[in-house]
Amino acid sequence: MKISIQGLTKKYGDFKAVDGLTLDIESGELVGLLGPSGCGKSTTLFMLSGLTDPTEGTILFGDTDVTRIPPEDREIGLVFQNYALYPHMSVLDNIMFPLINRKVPKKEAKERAEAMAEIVHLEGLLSRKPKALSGGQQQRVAIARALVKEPQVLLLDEPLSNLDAKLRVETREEIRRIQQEVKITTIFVTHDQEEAMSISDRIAVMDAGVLQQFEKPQDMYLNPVNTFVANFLGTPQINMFDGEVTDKGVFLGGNLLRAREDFADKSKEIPNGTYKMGIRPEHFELCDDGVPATADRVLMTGRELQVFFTLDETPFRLLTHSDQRLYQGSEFNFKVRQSQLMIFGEDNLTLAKV
Amino acid sequence: MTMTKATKKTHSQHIKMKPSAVITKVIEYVVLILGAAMTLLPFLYMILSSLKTYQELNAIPPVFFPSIPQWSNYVEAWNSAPFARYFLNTVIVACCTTVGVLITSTLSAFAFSRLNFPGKNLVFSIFMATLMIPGEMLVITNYQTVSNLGWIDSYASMIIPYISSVFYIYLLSQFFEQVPNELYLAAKVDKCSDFKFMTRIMVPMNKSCLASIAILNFISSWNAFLWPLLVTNDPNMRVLSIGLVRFQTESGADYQLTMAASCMLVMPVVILFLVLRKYVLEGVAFSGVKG
Repeated sequence: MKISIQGLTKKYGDFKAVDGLTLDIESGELVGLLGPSGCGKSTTLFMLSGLTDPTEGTILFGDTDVTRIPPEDREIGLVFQNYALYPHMSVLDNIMFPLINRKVPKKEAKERAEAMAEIVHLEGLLSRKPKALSGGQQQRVAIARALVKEPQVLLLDEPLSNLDAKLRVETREEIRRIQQEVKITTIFVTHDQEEAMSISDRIAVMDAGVLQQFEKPQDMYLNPVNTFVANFLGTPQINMFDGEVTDKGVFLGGNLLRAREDFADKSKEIPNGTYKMGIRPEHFELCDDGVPATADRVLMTGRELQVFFTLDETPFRLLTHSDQRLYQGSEFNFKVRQSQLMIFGEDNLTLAKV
Repeated sequence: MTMTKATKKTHSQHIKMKPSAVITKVIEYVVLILGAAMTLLPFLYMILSSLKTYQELNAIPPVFFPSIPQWSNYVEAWNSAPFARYFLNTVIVACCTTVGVLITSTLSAFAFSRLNFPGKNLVFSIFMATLMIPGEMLVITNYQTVSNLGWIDSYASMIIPYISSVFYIYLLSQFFEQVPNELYLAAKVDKCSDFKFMTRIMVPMNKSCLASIAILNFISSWNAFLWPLLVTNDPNMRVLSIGLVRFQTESGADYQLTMAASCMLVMPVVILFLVLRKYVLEGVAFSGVKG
């Protein structure tokens, strides 16, 4: 089911929780709504579910305007952060609950619930009570309960934030697998950028109620539209600094980071001046003839080495392979990989990558 | 083998305690035993006295244990007053008020804890304010109402004024509020009506609280004295507590019979508590939701 959100706004008094959100989601897509807490992502999800009424704007499921349709008639499955399972009912009864309410005959309801339990790998646990299950299993019960009525849209509100780190990775892959198997249009809310990037077809990043960018994870990571998206995506965080563009190229203090003749074609017309700039830690390259620097601190994380250094009183962090022999106090030279130096202009929008 | 050795070791470590800790424990137990004895002794003395002969009961120095248990006291007590009738009346009144309290408490607690309607907080505040009024003050106005309705000497007079309790409404709504709102929202998305949510989710989830309310209300109704005394004159409408007092005045100095009657009065409540204890003590199951 295609979802089309047009000018969706939610006001609480004078506060705009969601401000003029417009999004088109393709059928069968898995979309991550990503942003810091209070950015309006959960409000958006609850407006899609019908549990929250929008102040302005319309929501279309397919060609149907569902803006004023109550949640129970929207054909949605909703999964809550705390799973919201009924503690006094068995797993099977929990999954059957939506069907029984829809007056599906008991025998058929049981068969459908069992079939759904198989898809989410819960066979053999059907007679247990929710409290006898692990967090990941409870989450799968909640997903099965949401999917058993064969909804057109699946909505997940921070589905992984109550799980511990290892289970979180497993469960997010599980969500992706189930979503692919059922081929259902899915929207999930998260504040974890890694989680969003790893399983989403596309990500919508929100800040202060406003949509910042809606893009495939890789494109968004490599081409953020503004400093907010650049900062929000990626661990370790992008290095931000105030650099200077002159006739010769990009400078930080006395260090030439990129000569003007090396600029990628389209960016050559950048006027001289001071700009906010960003370089991702993995986009540094160690070399013999680059900018000289001294390692303040070195962090070995196994696969890679994090090197902290200071350039013109600005702290930087670079990532390199752990086979590099760098220690605290080591002197090294680096350069920035071609067209990976981001320059931000007015309103923090991305101006160029040189 | 190593496992058992290890567990044994931890066990013996547990048993070893500092002398000061031992003294604290001893004091704790002594205080608790004294407390239990003080509560239980009158009760035990009542049971023992109900099995004594008239002579044993009035002996000086007093005899604690009857030489031969006089079970016939019970038969005699039962036959010397229409206790069967009193018993039936009490059961009818206690059951009806308890069922009434459960229904009204559930409905209003659900409304106060989940529904949004204009004036909700005001109504709730007024409900709470009535808790400040002493029950004795209500007796006069209630009596007027009941007698104007012509309900004197009827079950209605004993049941209707007690089919709702603000305290239990408050208690239950506190329990209902602890049920995460997500359960309500999830049920809503799953096409569950408010009434169905209340009966299928809220009530079973809070059955231990409802069981506590049931048993507490049943006991207080069973033991009620002042109100039934005021609104009943007909001996056929007497409840056990009044019957017992009448019986005491009528049977005079035969205290062993009064004690036997008292035991009969108390027993059903004790049995009820033992049966429902599991529910009363069972914690509330919120574990379907983490956190």
